[in-house]
Amino acid sequence: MQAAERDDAARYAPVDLDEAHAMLDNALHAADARAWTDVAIYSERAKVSGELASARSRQQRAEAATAEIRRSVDALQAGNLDGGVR
Amino acid sequence: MNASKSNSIVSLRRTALSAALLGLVACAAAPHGPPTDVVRLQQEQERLHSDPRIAANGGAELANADAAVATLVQNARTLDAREYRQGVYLSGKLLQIAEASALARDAELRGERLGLERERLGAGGTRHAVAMTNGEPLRRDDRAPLQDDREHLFAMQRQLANSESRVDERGLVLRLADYNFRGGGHDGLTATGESALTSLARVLGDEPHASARIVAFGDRGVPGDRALAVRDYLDAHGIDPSRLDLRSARDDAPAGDARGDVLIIVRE
Repeated sequence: MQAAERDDAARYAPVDLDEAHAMLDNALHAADARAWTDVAIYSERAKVSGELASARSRQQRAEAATAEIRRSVDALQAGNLDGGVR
Repeated sequence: MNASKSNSIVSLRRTALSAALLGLVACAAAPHGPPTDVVRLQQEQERLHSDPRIAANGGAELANADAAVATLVQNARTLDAREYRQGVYLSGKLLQIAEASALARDAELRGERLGLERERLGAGGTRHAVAMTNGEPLRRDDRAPLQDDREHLFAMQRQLANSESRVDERGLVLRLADYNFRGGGHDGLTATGESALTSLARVLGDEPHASARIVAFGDRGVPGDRALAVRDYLDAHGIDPSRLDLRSARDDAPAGDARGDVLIIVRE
């Protein structure tokens, strides 16, 4: 969960991060009730949801970065073309 | 006696017939093949494998998802309801992780190729960095790092995906240009800039002995705002400001479009 938050998942994958938080809350409540099987189930779900939030965040950031570089390449190519015409 | 025996036989035949019919009904009612949840997961798995971007970049995440689905398919009929629901939940999430991770790698690879294309078109950091190094005399603390340090710096550089960076005599040099900043810089960083600095913050977090010099090139105003945005972002991501040395290099600013760049120089 901390890794997901470090990866800016709150910004890029808020739904998955919320689900991870909800599962962690469930696990904590189950621990209070000493329902150890439920603790194991919800802990596993929180872990995998956090990993999904991290992965989605990485995907969104990579795609945004690539789109920015694409735009700058397009701008440079357009500039080179303009220069060639002049 | 014979009538009684005959009745018993008829009764037995009826019982046997009923049992056979019940068996047939049970066979007809029992579903053949895997449950619908498992079929849905298998279809999702097939979709991922048929997408060349995901099949080529799936890596360990796709292998984990495949193993989870295979285990579920094998054991779906013997698991109790709770174990089955958990298996379906985890397998579904692992497939989604595999898809997101693979698409992230695909985007990162495309970004690297585009970065090379941008350098080829004449906007790369290498040209600026070389020009700046030539124009700015090396100070005593800017001498080439030792070989061991260089290898360490290269190891750090490998963690800076989607950043313009190089290792030279100054250390590990990360370049942030116009497209990394919103507006003049006082509006903060773009997603690309944040991505680069998030990676750098992680690297600096793992290397407590490393420090970073943030050098703004150009006149007062815009470059200074950008350098402050960089320092504030790293500070907000857990890097002690005492490790961040903010400098202005307007007197040594290289000519041309490097004006306004911010270089972050990491040294051990």
